[in-house]
Formats: sequence, C-alpha cells, structure tokens
Amino acid sequence: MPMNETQATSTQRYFVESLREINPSIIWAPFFINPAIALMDSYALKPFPCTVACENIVSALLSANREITVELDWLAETFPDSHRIFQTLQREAIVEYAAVAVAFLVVTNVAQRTITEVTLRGDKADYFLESRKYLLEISGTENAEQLTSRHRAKVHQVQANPFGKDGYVFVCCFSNQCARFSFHRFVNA
Amino acid sequence: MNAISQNQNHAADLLQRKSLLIIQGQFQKALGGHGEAARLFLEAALLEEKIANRFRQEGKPDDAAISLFSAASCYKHAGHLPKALALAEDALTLDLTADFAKEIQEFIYGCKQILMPAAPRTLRGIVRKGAIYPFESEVLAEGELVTITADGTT
Repeated sequence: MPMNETQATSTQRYFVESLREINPSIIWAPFFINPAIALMDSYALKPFPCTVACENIVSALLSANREITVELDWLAETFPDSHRIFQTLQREAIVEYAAVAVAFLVVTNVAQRTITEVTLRGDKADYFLESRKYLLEISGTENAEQLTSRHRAKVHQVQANPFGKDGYVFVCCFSNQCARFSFHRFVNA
Repeated sequence: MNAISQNQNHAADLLQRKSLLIIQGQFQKALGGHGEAARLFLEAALLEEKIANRFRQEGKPDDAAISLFSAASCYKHAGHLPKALALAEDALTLDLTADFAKEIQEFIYGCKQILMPAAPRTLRGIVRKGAIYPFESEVLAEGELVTITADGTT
C-alpha cells in the first residue's frame, strides 16, 4: 500500500551558521556553532540528518506521524580543521554543546519559540524561552540506548522545576541521528 | 528613542551580555582555564546582580530570585563565596516555591561547608613493621599505637 502523503516525515534543511541570524540580539547562540560542526563532521555525514520525534509540539512543519527530519548543513570555511577541537575539549562536552546548537535550531524553526536567556543555578545552566515564560532542558548523547532514559529524566526535571514553569525538552542522539523534542506542563506535586 | 525604550534596550543588552559571559565561563572551565573562567563568572555575576535589582524594582520577585540565585552561582564559580552566600540568603527572603527555597538552602549549606575552617583531622593506627616518621625521622616501633594529627605531630 502506498504511504499516505501526510504520513511521510517532512524534511527541513538548516545551516548551523543560521544561529547567527535567528535572533541577532542573542549574541551567545553562535557560540555553539563550532562544536556542532566538529561533532557532526566527525560522523562524515554532510548534511547531517536528524529525525526528530515530537510530542505536544504545535508546528505546521510536522506531519501526521509527529516527526520531522532536519538536515543540518554548514559551510566548509566556517570551521576548517574542526577535528582539532577534540584535542582541547572532552568529547562529552562537545556533544552537549552540539546538542544545544541543534536544540536552538529546532526550537526556533519548528516550535517558533525565541531563546532569550541563560542563567546559572548552582553548576547547571538554565535556558529560558520567551522572556522566562518557558524552560528548555537539553541533553546530548552518542549512546542510542540512553536516548529514552535521558529524555525521561529531562521531562521529570522540567515537570518538577523549582520555578514552576512549563518547558520544553530536547534530547539528541548523534550516533543514530535521532532526537526527541517535547513540551510539558509544570506538575505541582 | 524615548527614555522607556532606551531603558528596555539597556535591560535586554544586560541579559544578553551576562548570558554570553556564563556560556564563555562554562566553556573556559571545560577547557581547564579556571583563572579565565573565574574572571568571566565574576563579570557575569555583577551583571546578573544588576538584573536582579531591576526585577526587584519592577516588582517581579520571581524573576529577581532567579537572577539573584544565578548571580550567587556565578560568584561561587568566581571564588567569591561570602558574596555568593549573601546573595543566596537575600534570594531566600523573596517569595519562592518550596522546591526553589530548598535548592537555595542546599547551595547555602554547600558554601558554608567550604568557608568553614577545616576541622583537625586525626589518623590513628598501629605500626606494622616499623616505620620512619618522615618529618622527624623518628623510628616507630612495631606494634606501637600512633596518632598523627593534621598539623603533623605524632
């Protein structure tokens, strides 16, 4: 049986460098461009495809199966010799930074939300959207088995956040090019 | 441009500058550049404190608390523990959710633990095969019960 057109996953291509333009006043978003290029380049996939499964996300870009494939591309001259970053920064940190870059692209383009600020809470960075209306929890991994458990843990963090705010969760697994993106209401325990 | 929109632009500029400094501070820390990280966190803390004061003046205690705790966290990363402690205690005076208050109290406890002078540590044991105590070149007899305190006395 031919696949219904509405069942097909839509595909969008974003340049990582567009983080500079999505909101020029967010002067810190471009900071994540280089780690993202370095990590995706290490997989020798260009553009780097990422299938994002969405939950409770409102977007005209989503097909009936609530998925979207984002193809992440970049210009070769943006970060030549990107592999050198692995000599100075631990891979785990690069994965987290790369996940932030992908999250910002998806949050902005798919959910049409504006990233506004980062604050520090102890050792943890909190990303806020829409002038502190929503929280954004982000995590990155290269272990496919961790995708579900990381997502679950982040959902719990959002639902029980100390500010009592609703929030989004974005968890990206680079090794199998999959991500989960969801929205959650604060749960008052 | 009128005074109100100038004021709003300045506030937005503060938010973006301190966000960049936090990101840069964390990046330097990950690189192992702790001195540079401390400098960046200190700069971020100063801006975040200004932001907190603005929110307070605007009658937004929830936002003021978020910024105060962020400033306190930045000061801690910058190595300015007394200032971190003072701001965290200030944040506690605002109307917070129980979870947020608990998190700040844990932060305060952590700062106090670091600030407290280290209690004298004492090691006690029995000499097994005879040993030379390194500072005094004192030969200890086998079976002798020794107590070594943190200041190096036996």
